[in-house]
Amino acid sequence: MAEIIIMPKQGLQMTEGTIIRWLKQEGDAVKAGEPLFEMETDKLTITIDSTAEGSLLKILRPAGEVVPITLPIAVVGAPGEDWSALPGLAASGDEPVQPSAQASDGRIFASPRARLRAEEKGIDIGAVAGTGPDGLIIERDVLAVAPAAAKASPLARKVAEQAGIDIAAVTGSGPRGKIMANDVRTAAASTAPDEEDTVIPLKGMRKVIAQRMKQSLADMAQANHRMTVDMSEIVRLREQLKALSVKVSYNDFVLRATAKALSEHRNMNASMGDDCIILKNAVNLGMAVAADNGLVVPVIKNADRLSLTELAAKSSELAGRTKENRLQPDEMTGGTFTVTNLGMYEVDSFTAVINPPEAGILAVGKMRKMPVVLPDDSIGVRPLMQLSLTYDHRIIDGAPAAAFLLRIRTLLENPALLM
Amino acid sequence: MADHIAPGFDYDVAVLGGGPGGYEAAIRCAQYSLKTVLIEARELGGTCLNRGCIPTKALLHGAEVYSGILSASAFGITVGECSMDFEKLSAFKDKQVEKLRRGIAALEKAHGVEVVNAFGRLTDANTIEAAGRRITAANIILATGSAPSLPPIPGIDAAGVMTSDDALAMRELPDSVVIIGGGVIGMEFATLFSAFGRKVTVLEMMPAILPGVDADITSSLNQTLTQRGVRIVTGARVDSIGNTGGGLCVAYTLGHEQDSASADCCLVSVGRRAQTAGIGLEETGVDMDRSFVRTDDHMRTNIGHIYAIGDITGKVQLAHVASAQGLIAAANCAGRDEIMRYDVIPTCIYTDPEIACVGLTEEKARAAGKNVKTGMFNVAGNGRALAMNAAQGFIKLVTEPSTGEILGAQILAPHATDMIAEIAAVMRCEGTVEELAATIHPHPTVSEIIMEAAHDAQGLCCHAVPPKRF
Repeated sequence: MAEIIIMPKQGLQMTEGTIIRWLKQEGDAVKAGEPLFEMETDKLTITIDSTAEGSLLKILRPAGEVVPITLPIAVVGAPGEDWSALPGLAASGDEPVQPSAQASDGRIFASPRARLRAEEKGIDIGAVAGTGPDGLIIERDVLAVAPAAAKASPLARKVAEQAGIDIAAVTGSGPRGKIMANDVRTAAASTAPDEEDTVIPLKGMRKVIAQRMKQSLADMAQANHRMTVDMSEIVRLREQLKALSVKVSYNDFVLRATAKALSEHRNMNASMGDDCIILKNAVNLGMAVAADNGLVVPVIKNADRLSLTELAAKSSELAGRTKENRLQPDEMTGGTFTVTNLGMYEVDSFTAVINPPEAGILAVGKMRKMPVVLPDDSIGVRPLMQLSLTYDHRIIDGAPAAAFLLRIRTLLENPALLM
Repeated sequence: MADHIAPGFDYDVAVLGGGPGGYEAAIRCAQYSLKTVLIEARELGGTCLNRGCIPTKALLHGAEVYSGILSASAFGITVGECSMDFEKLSAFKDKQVEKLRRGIAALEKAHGVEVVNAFGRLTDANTIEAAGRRITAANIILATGSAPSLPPIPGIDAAGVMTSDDALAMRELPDSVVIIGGGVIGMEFATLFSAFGRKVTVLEMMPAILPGVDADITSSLNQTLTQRGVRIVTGARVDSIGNTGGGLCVAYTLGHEQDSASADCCLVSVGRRAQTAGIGLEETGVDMDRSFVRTDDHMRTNIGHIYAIGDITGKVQLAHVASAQGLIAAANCAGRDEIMRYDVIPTCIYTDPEIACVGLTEEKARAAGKNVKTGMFNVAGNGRALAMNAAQGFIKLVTEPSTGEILGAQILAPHATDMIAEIAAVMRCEGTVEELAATIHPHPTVSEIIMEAAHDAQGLCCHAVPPKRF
């Protein structure tokens, strides 16, 4: 009996996969567990093993196709077997899986080629209207919104190619703005690294970070508030817990306070939609981790529902796996707010850049013993810590943002509320 | 008629000099709705039309027809005795020149440019006095041109010593001529006289004729003219010109040797001097560089509203450069902020075969430190040229190999002068050797040699023997 191979779901958030390459051709013998095809989600590229054994009778979806999860992509059975009447095959058509290319969680559905073209042309793919199946953004859609290729003389193009300059970024001085060789040479002279400089090609994670940070500052109206927190009570509490062999870091207290404050201040747990603001139901707290190859933000799902110790355990576990590069794709997505802490790097206070599409990020500085004026006007020494909230002013105004930050301070200064 | 007048002035622009630079500048000013006056002491069209480009080409075409008749037997044509009435050729030349002059006058009128036929001189930075009339203008374009210069050689004022002006006014051809100066003018006259079978000696001070032109081309032309009986002496310093009664004897030094050349007359073509004296420039405070007027890339002099164009700028003494400068000056008078470029200027020399050049020669490109790859093609491999029985010459395309940039081109070929604009256009548009090579050239035309040279620069010439160029 022939079996249908479906597009498998790899990771919680996966709704579709792109078949990159079939590793077997029609007619080839296939064993269960043998690599059958390579596929790509928006997070990863993996090889998928066959779930059936026999002959690969039919490839229903050729390489390059984007297929929603669970839909049939191939048939495996006995050589020569008639598979046309297999139940479930009728479903290999075009079921709507997602209503639009822009899912409500902000993810964008686009073909790899469309993404590649958008990246090449520096187009924000989120702004492209998809005309593919189910509103999928396909290459044609990106090309349609791409500005006409920069007009440049053939020599200018060659000079740009040699100098490694993106010709689209050069201002043309020729007739009707045509980019001439001298324009490129001038541009090259201004950006060319010296021979002694080290040039690192922008790729992989660095490229993603570069794009997201630039996009963040370009798209959002980012504003910043700061508050100093007296951490005396937290220090005391942490010592007590330590004595009881309960390991909780200062950052865990901040995570807990932030998660709780987010559950109360939902306008901070939000993102910008198309002509709307989406208040997120779940509090999924991102925590910035400095991995060897760059910044990674694992996400603690439903952080507000975790107790302090659960949160501590989860954050420690996620941080560990982040550094070992063993995060699952869906452990890095779906964040609604991020906490970043540079205290261990002795930073007192800093302004973080919001991780889109979130509405805010809390930057935590180094806790230090500082002289403070106490309520009785005497001077005492207290462990102080600075919190810096960067928020998207499009979504939330200054006063409610301040209220949110104050709530975090109150929680940290009164840790009984965190219990 | 333009109605836009700068307040306080008679005109927006006064153009002093009606040569190809001045008359075109005046028309362009009018096109920009500037009220314009063009002041010319002599004939409209200047040196180019009256004493230069056009009349020499009329005579040279006569020479070409004559040569064609003499070699008509190659095409199976038998002609009887062929005779030459130079006076009639000269009259034909004058008639064509007159036609063109009338054309210019009509164009100026049609564009609403007022033409004042009088000698004008600046009396202040906004005033030109001409024929007793004070003409004021917000902008002035100086375009007074040049005249043949006579070097201080003993005997230079002897009877029978001519400039190109005199040579073009001749009604009959001398039997023999010594040409002092083997530049463009000298070599064109050498071509003319020799085509009519006259005895020609060229004395050039530099080591080669046509200084600045690619050495392969000048040596090839030297050889061709020598074969036709022209005596060319290079490295010759002229010491004196003496009247021998029956003609002139030009004494010169070649190395350490004294020698002389005799002829009926002597044409002096050693250069042209700017006509900037006596027109009030010094008095007005216009900044000069010897006899030339200093200009910036907007064609402005040190006085912002006074422009200078053409031969008086001392840049490149060619009619088409003067015209280009004139159009730039006109644009700037109209506030358009345009600049003059001198990097892509074609040069044409009407020898037989013709020579046309643009951009850098191989030698100059290397001297400028550029990496150079040349593409060459011999006219002998061109079907059209062979069909015309004119398969002499070659093209050299000078390119930069890493980008394919076309740095220059030199052509010695029939129709070379009509073909060079193609390469100039490609250079101006910054096309590379790839575009030139990929451009389909019509067959059969001599222009195919350009494509062939581009192919050769790529190492892909179909019509050349593989390992050896030629």
